[in-house]
Amino acid sequence: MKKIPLVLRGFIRSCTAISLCLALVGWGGPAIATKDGSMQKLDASMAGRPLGWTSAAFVVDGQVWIPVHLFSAAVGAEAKVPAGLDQLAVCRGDLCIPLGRTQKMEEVVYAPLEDVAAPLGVKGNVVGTTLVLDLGLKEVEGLGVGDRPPSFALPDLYSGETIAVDDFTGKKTAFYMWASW
Amino acid sequence: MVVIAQDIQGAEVARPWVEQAGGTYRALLDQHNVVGKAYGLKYVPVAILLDEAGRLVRPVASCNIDDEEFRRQLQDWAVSGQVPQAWMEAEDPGAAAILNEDEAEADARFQLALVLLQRGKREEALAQLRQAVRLDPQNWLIRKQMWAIEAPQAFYEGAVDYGWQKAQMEREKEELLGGS
Repeated sequence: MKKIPLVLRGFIRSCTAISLCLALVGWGGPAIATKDGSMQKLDASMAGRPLGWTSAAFVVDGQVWIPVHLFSAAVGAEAKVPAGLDQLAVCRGDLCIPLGRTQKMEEVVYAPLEDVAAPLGVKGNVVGTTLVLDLGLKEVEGLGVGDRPPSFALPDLYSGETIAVDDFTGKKTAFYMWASW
Repeated sequence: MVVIAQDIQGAEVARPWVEQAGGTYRALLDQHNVVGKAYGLKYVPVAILLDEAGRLVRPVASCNIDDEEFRRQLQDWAVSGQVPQAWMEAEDPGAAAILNEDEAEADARFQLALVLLQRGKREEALAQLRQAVRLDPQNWLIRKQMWAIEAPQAFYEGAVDYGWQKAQMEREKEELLGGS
């Protein structure tokens, strides 16, 4: 017999109360249900800055679910199906964490934070309605490999818009200092 | 890729070069020598390469964007995320040095020169820059910007005139730096 995902079973159970069932369906597609019906969408932040995720993380039954691709980008990892594995995984360097529990909502894949955070050395705490991610990095400010260099913010050469180093978090970035002279 | 123009003279002198290169990358302007000061750098070109988490994958140091090996390393890192061995093994410059008194005064005069330039007071700006160079003669971010204002023909008309720069260094040894 095909195993019914845990979350789906929870959903079916919850639907014994009709009003609750409608509430969950009304949330937008195949919802992840809860025993007590509470689901809290979370803002996400890292290093004191909002991550501005287009698909929100959420907490349900005390379990934090993160949008896998957005989370991976934020912590310097990559969500992919590695060669030789027919399963989505979160990979950083040589490390790949296969995702056993995933849910798709509105075409976005979610996984429990606890399944990926610890192996990546990431801490996640829910403060109010915000998921605060901490990369647990050594916070050494310096100019050597592995250090965080001094931050700066400068105007765009054309628009004058202020652009900061932190705006590129989640992407590999090459800054090249040059001059006209 | 983000390019940062170290140009006290502003966007007008920097933009033609970006346009000529046909770059589609983000271009920033550092008129106030913000990066040079924060990183203790006194020259260009310099590469600052950061991973997704904002950590350096190469020590902050000069680079030659035309060098085939550097381009290959950059490409490999961008594609695979593997930090090239040569970058890992390169000398760690440590933390950015705090400006000493002379360097701090040189910076203050540089900032003043920028304001004077923006108000069209070219001669007064050059006077401040000359004093800045006396205080911090090895700071090429200041010295060469002074040259570019003093002698634009040696920088902005055709190829950069390195013969002029060499001769200028000799002249300055006597006239500006008192034979030191």
